[in-house]
Amino acid sequence: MSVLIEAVGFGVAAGAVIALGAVGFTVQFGISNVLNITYGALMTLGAYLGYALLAVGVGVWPALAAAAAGIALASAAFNRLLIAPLRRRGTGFVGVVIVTVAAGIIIQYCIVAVAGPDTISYGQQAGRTIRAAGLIVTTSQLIIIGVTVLAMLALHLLLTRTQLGRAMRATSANPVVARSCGIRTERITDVTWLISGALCGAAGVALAITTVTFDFTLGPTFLIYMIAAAVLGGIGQPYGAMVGGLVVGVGTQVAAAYTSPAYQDVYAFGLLIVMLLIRPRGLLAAGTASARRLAG
Amino acid sequence: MRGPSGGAAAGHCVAPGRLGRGDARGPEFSGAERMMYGTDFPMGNNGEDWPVEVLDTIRSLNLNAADRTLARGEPAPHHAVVTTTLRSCASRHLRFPRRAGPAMRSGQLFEPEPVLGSRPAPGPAPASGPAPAANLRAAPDFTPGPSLTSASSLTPAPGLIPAPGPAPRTARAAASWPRVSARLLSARLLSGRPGARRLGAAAVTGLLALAACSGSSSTAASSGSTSSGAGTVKVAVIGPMTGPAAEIGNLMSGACYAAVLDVNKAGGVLGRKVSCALVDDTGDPADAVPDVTRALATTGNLNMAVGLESNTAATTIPLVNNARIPMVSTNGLVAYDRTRDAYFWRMTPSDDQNGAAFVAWAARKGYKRVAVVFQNNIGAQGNEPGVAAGIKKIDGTMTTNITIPGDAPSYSSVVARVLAGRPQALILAGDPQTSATFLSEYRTLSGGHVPPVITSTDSITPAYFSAVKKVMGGSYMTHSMAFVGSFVSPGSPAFSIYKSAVYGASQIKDPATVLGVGVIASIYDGINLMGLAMQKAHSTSGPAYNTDIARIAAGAPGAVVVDSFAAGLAALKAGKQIHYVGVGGPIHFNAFHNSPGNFSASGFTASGSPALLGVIPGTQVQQLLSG
Repeated sequence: MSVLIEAVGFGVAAGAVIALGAVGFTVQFGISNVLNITYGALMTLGAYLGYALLAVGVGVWPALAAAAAGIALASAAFNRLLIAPLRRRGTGFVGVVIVTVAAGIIIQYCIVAVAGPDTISYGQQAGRTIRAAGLIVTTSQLIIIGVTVLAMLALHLLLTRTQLGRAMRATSANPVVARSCGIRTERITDVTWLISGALCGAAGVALAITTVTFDFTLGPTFLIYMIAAAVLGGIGQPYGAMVGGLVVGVGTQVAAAYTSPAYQDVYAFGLLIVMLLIRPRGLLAAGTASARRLAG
Repeated sequence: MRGPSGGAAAGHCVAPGRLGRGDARGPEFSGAERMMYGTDFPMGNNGEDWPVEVLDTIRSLNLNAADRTLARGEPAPHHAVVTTTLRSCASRHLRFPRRAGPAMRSGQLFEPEPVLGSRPAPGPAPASGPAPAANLRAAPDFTPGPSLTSASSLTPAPGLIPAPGPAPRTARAAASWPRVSARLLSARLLSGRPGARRLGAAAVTGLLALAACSGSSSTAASSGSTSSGAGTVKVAVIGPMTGPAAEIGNLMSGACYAAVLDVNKAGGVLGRKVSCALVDDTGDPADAVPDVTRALATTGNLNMAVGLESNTAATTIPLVNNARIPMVSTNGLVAYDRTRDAYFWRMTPSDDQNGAAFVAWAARKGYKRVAVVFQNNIGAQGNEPGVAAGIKKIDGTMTTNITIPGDAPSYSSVVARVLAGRPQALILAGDPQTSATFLSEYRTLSGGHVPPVITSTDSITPAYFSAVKKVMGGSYMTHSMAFVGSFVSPGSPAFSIYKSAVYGASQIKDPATVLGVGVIASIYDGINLMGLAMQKAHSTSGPAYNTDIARIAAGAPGAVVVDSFAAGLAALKAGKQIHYVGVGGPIHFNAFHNSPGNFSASGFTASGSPALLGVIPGTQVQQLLSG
C-alpha cells in the first residue's frame, strides 16, 4: 500500500507539469480551432529562456514567470503573423497543422543555432524533500503543483466570472454567432494565444526543473503527453486537461512502481484508449465545436 | 461593441437557429471567415478533393505511414496523433551532425525505396578464409603492467590530456535544411486553390527531384567494392552522424581521420591516397538501410568500412557484407559472436562480455549488492545477460534489475524501487539526459547519498560529463563513476602513434575523448589492418584482401611485429611477413572473426577528460561468462 501511495504522489508531481502544459494547449485549441504542434517548440523556447535568465542570476521562479510572459508574447505574435493570415487566406485545418509542424521545426533550428545541441541543466532546483503520509515530494514539485492549480483556478474564474471569459466561451462554442453578437473574435483569439503561450512557457520551465537536464527536443518529447492529457480530459476543457494530466502522470508512475518501467507509457496510453472508448469525448467534455470536431 | 465586419451590436444577436453552419453566408462574412470559424473547409477532411498529383507526389516522397495518414486527411481525432508522430520524427532527425559530412541525410526524404540485393549475392567464404584462432600463430600474450592493473587513485592516464573544449556548434544544420524547407513548402503549396494545388504539386515534385539530385551529387557513380584501379581509396564510416547518438558518429569519424592521416603520411595504400566517407545511418535501423544502400551504390572506390554500431548493425552489416566490402564493426551485438559473415571483423567485446566486465569491476571494488538499471535501447539491453551471469558467478546479489524508458518526465517510482534494495553500486546505462534525471532523483529521494555508478565507456563523453556533473557535482564525477569497456594500452608504442595522429588530425575537435574510448581505437586499428592487407594482397578488392586481414593480425612464423601502418608498409615493401599489434594490443581473431581483447575501467578527471582506473583481463571476463 505504501508503494501505491508513494507512486501516486510521484504521479501527481509529474502529472502537474503535464497538466500545466495541457491546460494551455486545450484552451488554445478549444477556442481558436488550431491544432498547434508548435506548442512543443515554444515550450522548449520557454525552457531555454529560463536557462538564459538563470545564467544571469535570476531565480528559478522569477525565471518561470518571465518565460511565461515571453512565450505568451511569442505565441500571440505567432498567431498574428502566421496563423491568422493563413486562415484569412483560406488555409484549411490540415494546412494550418502542417504549418505549425514546420514552424516548430524552424523554431527548434533557431534554438540549436543559438544555444547548440548539447544537453543543458538548470542544476539542482528540487529544493527540500518533504515526507508526509507516505508521500515524498520536493518543494519545487509542490510549487509546480501550486502553480498548476492556481492556473486552473484563474482560468476557471476567467471563463465563468468575467465578460472576457464569457466572450471566450462564446467564441469557442460558436464563433459565427459570437461574431454576430458583436464579439471581436480576433481579439478573443489573441487573448487566448496569450494565455496559452503563458502556460506553455511556464510548462517549459517547470519541465526543465523536473527533468533536471534537457535539450532542444524537450517540448516535442513531452507534447505527446500533453495532447494525451488534453484529449483524455476533453478538448477545450481546462479542468479536463488537468484531470487528464494527473491521470497520465499517476498512470505512468503507478505502472513504473509495479511493472517494468520500460512499458510505463504503454500502460498510460492504453488507459487513454480505454477511457476514450468509454467516454469518446473525454472525461469532462462539453459540447464545444472543437470537442465535437475532435470527437468526430 | 461592434464586430469588425459591421455585424449586429451586442444585445441584438441573431438567433443561433437562424445563423447556423449552413446560414453563415451573409455578405458580412467572407469565405475566409467561414473557414476560420469551421463552417467550411477548403479541402475535404476525407481527402477526396486532393488532386491526384498531390497524392502521387506524397507517395513518391516515400513518406512514412503517419505522413500518408495525414495526407489522406483522416478524421480530426487522428490528426493529433499523426502530427505528433510527424513532429517526433522531425525532432528525431533534427539532432544535428556534430561534423558536417557529405550530407547524406539531405536526400533521404526524397529517395526512392532502397533497392536491396542490387549487389552481388554474398558468396561463400573464401576457401583460404581466416583460420580459426587455434590455427593461427599465437601472438605474445598481453600482460598489463602493474601500474595499469591497480590504479588506486584517479589520475590522468599517460597520454591522456584534458579536452581542449566543446566542439563548435555551427555547421550542423545545412544537411537537414532541404527536408525542412520541403515540408514547409509542401504545406504551403498543398493548401491552395485547386488550380494552384496542381501547380504546387508539380513544383514540389520538381523541387524535390532537384533536391534529391543535389543530395546525391556529391557521390560518385560506381561502387568500389571490386575496384583496384586508380583514385582515392575510401573508408566508409557508417555510424550516426545525426540524431541522439551523433556523438558516437563523431568519435568514429575521428578515429578514421587519425588513421587516414597516418596511412597517407606513409604513402597511402598501393600508392593511392585514402579518405574517410561519412555515411550517416542516423542510429535508426530503418533509416540506415536507404542511407547505407545509397552510399554503397554511389560512392566510388569504397573499399573498406568501419563503425556499424549496435543500433543499426543488424540492418547495415548484411548490406556491407553483401557488397563484399571488409568491415571492422564496433557493434556489441551478441549475435555477431558467432557470425558467418565473411567480411565482418570485430576487435571489441560483445555487449554480454561488457556486462560481465561491469561485474568484474564491481567485484574488484568489493561491491556484492548491485542494482542494474538499463535504458531500453539495444546496446544497454545487450549488457544484461553478462551482468546476470557475472553476478551469479561472484555470488553477488542483483538487488534490482530494471529497464527504463529514455527521457521520461520522472523516474521517481523507479528510484524508489532501486532504493528499497539498498545497493552498494549502480550498474547504470543510459543517455546523458536520462542518466542525469535518474541520478538527480536518486539523490533527492535518498537524502543525498548516491552509490557509485558503473557504466559503459560509450558514456565517457563531454556531453555525459556536462549533463551529470551539473546535478551530481564534480566530486561525484571524479570519485564515483567508472566507465568500463574495451582496453587500449596507453603505454604501448602503437598508442603513442595513435595519439599523435589523433592530435594531428585537424578534423578532430576533441582528441582527448577520442583517445579515451577504447572501442574507437579499434576503428584506427581496423583501418591500418585493412590497409596493410590491401598492400599485401596487391589489391583493394574486398574478396582479394579479406583473408589477409587475419593473416596480418595473427602473424606468420618469423613475421616482423609492426605497430603502425608505416612500419607495416615498409616491411611489406621489403618482402617481409608482418604481424600487426595495434592500440588495443595483440589481436586474436577466432573462427568468427571476433577478437574481444582486454577491458579497462576509466573515470573522469576534474576537467572531464578520461583517465584510466584499471585493467580487467579478458580471461577474467570470460570466466564470469562461462558455465
